[in-house]
Amino acid sequence: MDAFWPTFTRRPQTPPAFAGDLAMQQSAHMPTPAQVVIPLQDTPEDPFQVFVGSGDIVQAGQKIGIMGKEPNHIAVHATVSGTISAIIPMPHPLVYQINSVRISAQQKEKKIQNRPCSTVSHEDIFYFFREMGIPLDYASLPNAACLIVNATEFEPGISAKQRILIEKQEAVAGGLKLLAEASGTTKVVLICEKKDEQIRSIVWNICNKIQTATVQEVDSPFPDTIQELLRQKHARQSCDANKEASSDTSLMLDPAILAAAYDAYYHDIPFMEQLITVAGSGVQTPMNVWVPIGTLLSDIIQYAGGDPASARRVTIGGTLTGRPQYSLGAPLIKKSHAVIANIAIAFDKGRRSRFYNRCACVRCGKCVDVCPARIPPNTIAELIEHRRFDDAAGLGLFSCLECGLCYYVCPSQIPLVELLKLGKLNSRGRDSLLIFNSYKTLYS
Amino acid sequence: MIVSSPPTLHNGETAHCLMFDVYIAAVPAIIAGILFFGLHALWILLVSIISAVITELVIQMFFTAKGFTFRPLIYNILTNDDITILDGSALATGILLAFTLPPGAPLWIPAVGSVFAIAVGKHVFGGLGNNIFNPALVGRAFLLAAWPGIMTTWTAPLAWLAGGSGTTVDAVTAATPLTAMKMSNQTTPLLDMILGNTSGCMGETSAIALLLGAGYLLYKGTITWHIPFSYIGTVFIFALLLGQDPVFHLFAGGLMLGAFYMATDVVTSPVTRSGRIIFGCGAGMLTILIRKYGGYPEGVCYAILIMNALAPLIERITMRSHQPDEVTVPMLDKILKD
Repeated sequence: MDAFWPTFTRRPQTPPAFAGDLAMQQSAHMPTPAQVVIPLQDTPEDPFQVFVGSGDIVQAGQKIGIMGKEPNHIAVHATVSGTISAIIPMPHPLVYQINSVRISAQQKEKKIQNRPCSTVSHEDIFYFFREMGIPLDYASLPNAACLIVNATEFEPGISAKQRILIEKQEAVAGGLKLLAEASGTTKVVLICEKKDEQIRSIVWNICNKIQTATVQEVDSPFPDTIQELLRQKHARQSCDANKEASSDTSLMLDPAILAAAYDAYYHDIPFMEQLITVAGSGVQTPMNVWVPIGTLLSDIIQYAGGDPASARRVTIGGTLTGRPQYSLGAPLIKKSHAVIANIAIAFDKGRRSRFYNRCACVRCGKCVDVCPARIPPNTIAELIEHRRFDDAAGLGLFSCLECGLCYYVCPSQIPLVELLKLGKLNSRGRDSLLIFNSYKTLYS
Repeated sequence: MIVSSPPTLHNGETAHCLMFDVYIAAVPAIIAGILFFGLHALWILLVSIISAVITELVIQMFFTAKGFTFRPLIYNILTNDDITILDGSALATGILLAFTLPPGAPLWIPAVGSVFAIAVGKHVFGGLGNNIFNPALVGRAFLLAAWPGIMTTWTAPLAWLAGGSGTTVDAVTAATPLTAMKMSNQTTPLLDMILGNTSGCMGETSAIALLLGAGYLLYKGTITWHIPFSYIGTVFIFALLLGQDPVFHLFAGGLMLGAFYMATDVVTSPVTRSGRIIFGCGAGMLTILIRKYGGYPEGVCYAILIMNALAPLIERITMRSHQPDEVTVPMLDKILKD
């Protein structure tokens, strides 16, 4: 009768941020894995180019290919030194299989020696960042009117963003300054939570270094999916024939990308490593760890003390907005924050209490009370179940942030986020507005 | 590998949580009802609960449940997904219906009332979550229309201490505060009304017990403050405007019961916050108008039923409508506008 205990306690309406002591630990560096798999595309139809062949020896940091077609491209770099063992379609976290380069590493180094590659000129800064493999929204960056940096952590249990801010404070400030000057914005806003003292002081420090920056302190954290929502909002506005191209585009940036941009510009190091949190019931020691991009998920789980064979659910991202993985042979891609590995304990349908089955919506309105986008998820989900997608869009379906708070509080266990995603996908004529893909590297 | 769609984090709340909170919040009012009206009130409560649960069980067994076989009866009742007596909403309806009955009513009254409330008030509309009207109030309205004599015969409080079994036949009848006000313009002492030392429906007399339970519900988050606050506030203001004693109207009759337990029923009240405030204001207005100008001394039951009918309309006007292609980000509006 595990479902009866919440009856007698006060149920929380927002997920608790229980990453407290994990955020205080210094991050580790993962030693060179045996192999890395570096994807060359975002979707199976994307164009790409490879400059190396099977059997070649590459150094860490060497440019081995291009994702996309020039001039809208992002360079792909080798993240370990070794031999190229294959260039074939391999599992990918987001789509089934993608053409990727598999490199088997030669030396086991304790820390990846970042090699500077200074063959690119710094004049055209956006071309420079493309050549360094920094995944930014290059389409809207030159005209951005406002840059927003989200320094709040929305997912419970993840502390990668906080560690980046604590450990690489100057890099984040420098990268933000670079991008602000390069895009010519007049407004930079940093968002931080009121109750996190350490991050608040760091964010204020960063703000003082940049002239046009202001700090906005908020009570509750902002989900990172706002990046996608903003991008879709401007895509919609630019498609609208009645309005002229509005110049007040705003862009949300990630502190990890800012730190990578700083390292690329001042130290000539391409984007090769990523700080992620590895957590969940499937790992023995949850940790924050610097991982080379392209490391297989099984290697990451093994390094954190888990058994890849017993992991039943592995998510890239957090528990609320992450992406579940179908194969542990998938690599870690850019812009990931966390890997959560779970052993199945109580969430299989055969094992969990039948009180957690889905019931009818009692219209309690808790989802409406908690939704940060101010839309009614219960009504929209009901309209989607009846296939009335236009009515659902009229109530605000496309303003949904897909943050997961509505499902978190729903007493009837209705999969609201799934239904809203289904509605977005199935709306007729809305081809450009799909569910969010926060890991997309290329925006042309 | 499990690849179910995110989110995978939940706060553990189930539909029972809402109902259990109502049961616990109803306990002070049950105790007050038994204290003032004797053990007969307890039998009314039990009959109401049992007949509500059995009605729901029977309707679901014979009509709604898919693939229900009668052979391993108890096992099938407990494990079939369509038999929803275990989520406790029928029990809550039974409790709330018993609260609205006079304490001297014969025991077939709550039985018939529960059957009607669950069958017609809830399952005819489609079961849990689909009913338009509050089922307990539907039951009470039916009983009031069908047996008005029995439903308006009240017993004096604490009459059971002096002897007598407490049924309508040999109890001391007395008028409720509202009836006294309407018919003979007589006021009742305020302390009596707050403590519950007046006659009236079983669960509505003791304001202090109801407020205790309401405080618990607000603390647990089962109800929000919007409906009770706007309902009671509107009654207060309109009583002032119409020249009546506002504090009397707050504690007389079923206002406390209606504002905290009946009007806040989640299925029948609007979903948006501003919609709830409009709902409470409308119900308050109707309550005072029925009490002053209507034929009945008590207006809470019909006021809430009328506002239940208007709740979908209120929802529609309070939900912000978007253009088909519009994407709004309210979280960033405050940041971006300056």
